[in-house]
Amino acid sequence: MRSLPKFWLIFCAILLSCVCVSPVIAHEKWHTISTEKLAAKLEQGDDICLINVLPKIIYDDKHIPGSINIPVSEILTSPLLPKEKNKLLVFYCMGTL
Amino acid sequence: MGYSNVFVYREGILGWVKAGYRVDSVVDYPKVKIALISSNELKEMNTSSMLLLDIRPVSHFLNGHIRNSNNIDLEELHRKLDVLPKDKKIILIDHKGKLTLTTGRFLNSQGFTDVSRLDGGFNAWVKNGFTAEK
Repeated sequence: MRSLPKFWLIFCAILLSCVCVSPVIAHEKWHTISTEKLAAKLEQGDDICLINVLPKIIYDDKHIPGSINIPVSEILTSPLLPKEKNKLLVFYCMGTL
Repeated sequence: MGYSNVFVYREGILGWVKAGYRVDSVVDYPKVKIALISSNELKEMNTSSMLLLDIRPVSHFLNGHIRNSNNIDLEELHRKLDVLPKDKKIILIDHKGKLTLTTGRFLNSQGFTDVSRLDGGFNAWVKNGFTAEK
């Protein structure tokens, strides 16, 4: 059971990479959050770790306020990830519109 | 890693902006026009004096790329500017054309003034039926 969350995180990282490449791969099984819910949580000051997985050059140009930048290739090794394992992590990239 | 509460915000930056929410910037890149080149135009161009710069991850590049293109992963580009020529036209290639406008503006801010981008990225090239090398 202990390996399941790790698997889930790796899965999300791969998934995000795929979203950046092809929205066709987008899939209903992921836990997703809507624009409105995310905005509401940020507005309320909820304890979220919002993570932009785009390259630094793109993050520097434009990102959601309060988000940190951990490029896809660094997700599994980044010291920026929170220590609290039950904290809400929300990953995003350029999007699928 | 043990995280149990992981979500994906699929709409991403594009959805966030479209919904009218504010974004932050670390740097203001110059809002210069980065010319679009279609796959058909690129196919017909003599690119021998240009740099075709594929900014996708190396694994994607190795899986298929436009002939004579060079790869620098966008994640690494800001650390590898010294290998780019300032006296050549640079044509940027990404997956779908979503990242090359900002990348072109970044390069412009670093003194690379002749930068264009492939419209629709590598996906458009393949979709047009043009060959990819491995």
